[in-house]
Amino acid sequence: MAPIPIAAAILVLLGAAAALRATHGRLTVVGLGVALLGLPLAVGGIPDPLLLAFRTVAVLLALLLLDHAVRRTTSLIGPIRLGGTTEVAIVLAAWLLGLLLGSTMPDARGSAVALATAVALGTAGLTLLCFGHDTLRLGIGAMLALAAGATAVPAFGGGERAALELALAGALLAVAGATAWLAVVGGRVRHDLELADRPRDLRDAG
Amino acid sequence: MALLALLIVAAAGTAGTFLARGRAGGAPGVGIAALAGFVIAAVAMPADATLAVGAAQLVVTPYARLWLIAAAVALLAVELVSRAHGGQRNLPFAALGGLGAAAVALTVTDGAAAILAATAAGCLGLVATLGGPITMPTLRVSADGLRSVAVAGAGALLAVAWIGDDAIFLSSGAVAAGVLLMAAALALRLGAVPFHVPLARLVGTARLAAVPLAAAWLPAAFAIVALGWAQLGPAPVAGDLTGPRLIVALVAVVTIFAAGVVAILDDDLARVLGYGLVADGGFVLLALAGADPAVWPAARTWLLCLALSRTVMALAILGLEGADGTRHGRELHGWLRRTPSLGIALAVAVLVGIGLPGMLPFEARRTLAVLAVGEPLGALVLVLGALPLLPLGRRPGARAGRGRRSKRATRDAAGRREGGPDRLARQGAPDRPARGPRVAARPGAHRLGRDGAAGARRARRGTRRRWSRGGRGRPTPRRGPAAGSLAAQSSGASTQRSTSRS
Repeated sequence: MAPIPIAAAILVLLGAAAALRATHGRLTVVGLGVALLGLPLAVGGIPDPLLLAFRTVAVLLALLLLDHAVRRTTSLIGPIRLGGTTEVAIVLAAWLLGLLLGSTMPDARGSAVALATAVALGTAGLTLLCFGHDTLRLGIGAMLALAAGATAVPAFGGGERAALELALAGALLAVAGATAWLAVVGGRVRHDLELADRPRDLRDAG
Repeated sequence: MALLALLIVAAAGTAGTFLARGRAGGAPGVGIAALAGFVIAAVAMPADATLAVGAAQLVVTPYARLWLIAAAVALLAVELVSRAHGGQRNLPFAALGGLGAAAVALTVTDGAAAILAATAAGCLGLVATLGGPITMPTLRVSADGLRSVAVAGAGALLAVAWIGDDAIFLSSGAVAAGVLLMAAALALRLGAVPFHVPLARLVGTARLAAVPLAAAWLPAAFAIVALGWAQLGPAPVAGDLTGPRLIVALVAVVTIFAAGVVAILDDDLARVLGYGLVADGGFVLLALAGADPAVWPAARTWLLCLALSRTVMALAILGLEGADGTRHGRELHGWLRRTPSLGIALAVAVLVGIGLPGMLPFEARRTLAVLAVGEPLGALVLVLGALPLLPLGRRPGARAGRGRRSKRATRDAAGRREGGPDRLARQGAPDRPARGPRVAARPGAHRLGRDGAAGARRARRGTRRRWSRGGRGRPTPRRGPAAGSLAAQSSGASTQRSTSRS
């Protein structure tokens, strides 16, 4: 296995873990940034520098939008429903499962690390979309899920890289814009990023 | 270059409407001008225009051009009508951003990139639902919409990745999994059963002017992309997919049936519009259940017709609400006599949404239904799909006050004949509360505000204390209230008449 994709995949996992675990809004945004900026290197192959620059600018703009939304309201957010650590463990398990699948698939069409990273990132995104109860985590989950989907396409050996990168950059910007709008408007209603009336913590359910 | 010009108009319009939002009186003009500019750019664009951005190719087809023109004209009409009824602040921004992203989605040659662009369009369209007075329910509806759009987009991307470029090298089980994943994503985006709750909440909670964009045009763009992938991707092995086709057909038929039945039972025309959208989503799903290549052109025709029909219907309901102050079918007695133009609009919506035998929408629906579930059941599905439009014909020409009414409405009407409570309510406040007795509302009553309604309630309450049923239902005066009380002031005329009669 090549060292650069492995190192990038670990970076992506650390970013996703920060996005899941942190209860400080800006730290969550930083985690998202690390995950999204490290992702092109984890897919494997050297991307076109122009495309990489375009995608980096789009990701930075998206992070700026989210940071603006977080700064406008209170920056503290509650923990995700299962507590954060559980979700991080699930994402790690998903990465290992993806690595196993990618290594043992008989008709492997892409790199195993890329597939594992896509599976882990998709799991993180879906976890945030399902268990997140604030605007910021919802938007971050949407961005991670779309990035995972866009990573899965070349990981399976399909798609046209240039079109995919450009479309992903646009989609990330659109999701970040909608999330920031939602957060700013929500901040006017209740001065925080919370969506639920009373956030439930499933750890206390038993 | 024509496609580039269209995208530049969309981007400039989005930026312009965003910047003009804060300026009083500036945003409507900018939004309408930008939407009109988009219409002109789309009409001027040749049907075979191309654009290359690096290695990415964007190719315009005649259908994509027609869809973009129809969407831009429809959203311009929505913007104009909504301006006449108070306006929807974010609509031009969301419409231009959504249309620009939809233009990319419909023209880009790569399937995964098209899905990403359609997802981006859906996210931008959701901003339109945040235009009115914001409450927590509105916020949650928008957040649920974002969740649905993202999950549907990620699911569709996974399906595209799974099938890859050549489905012929995969086993039929693997292709079936990909097709089912794409069907689930499509059902989620279109609000089909069992994913109908976010759409139903959106239509019930958000401003009506945002519904055509967020719940019809942009989901339709996503569906066009998804069906385009299904036509090219798993189609070579579609003959082997009997099981998945059966599952998708079952979900589609249940969606159409459930939406049709609930629409008949409901009274709120906006919710009926939502059920219609759910049923329309069921017809789109039928395209994935059909094995015949004839389903693809029929599905594309239907996706254009459904968005146009629901836009016209939303505009008509917006007009009815503006004219009569209510959108409840039972309170709209005689609306056709008062506003015949809205009757014409609804007739157009029915013709575009259902049509007559031989017309394009009817034949498209018939093709989708018959090719998916066969001849006898297909006809039944066709009939069930028309049910969400039935509540629109509820007492269009009846005079106000006729027909079946609630006990409370009958009592109020009796009181009105005797110069009792309702007459007082009319003097105190011409409006009645939105969920009050079901008697016909007068045009413009909704503008009177809550104070008028509260005054009417107070007047009724005070008068009911004074009036009791004596003899055969004839009201007889009790001992009067204290001088100077609200009831005494407002019921002066009727008390005087009763006294003189006795």
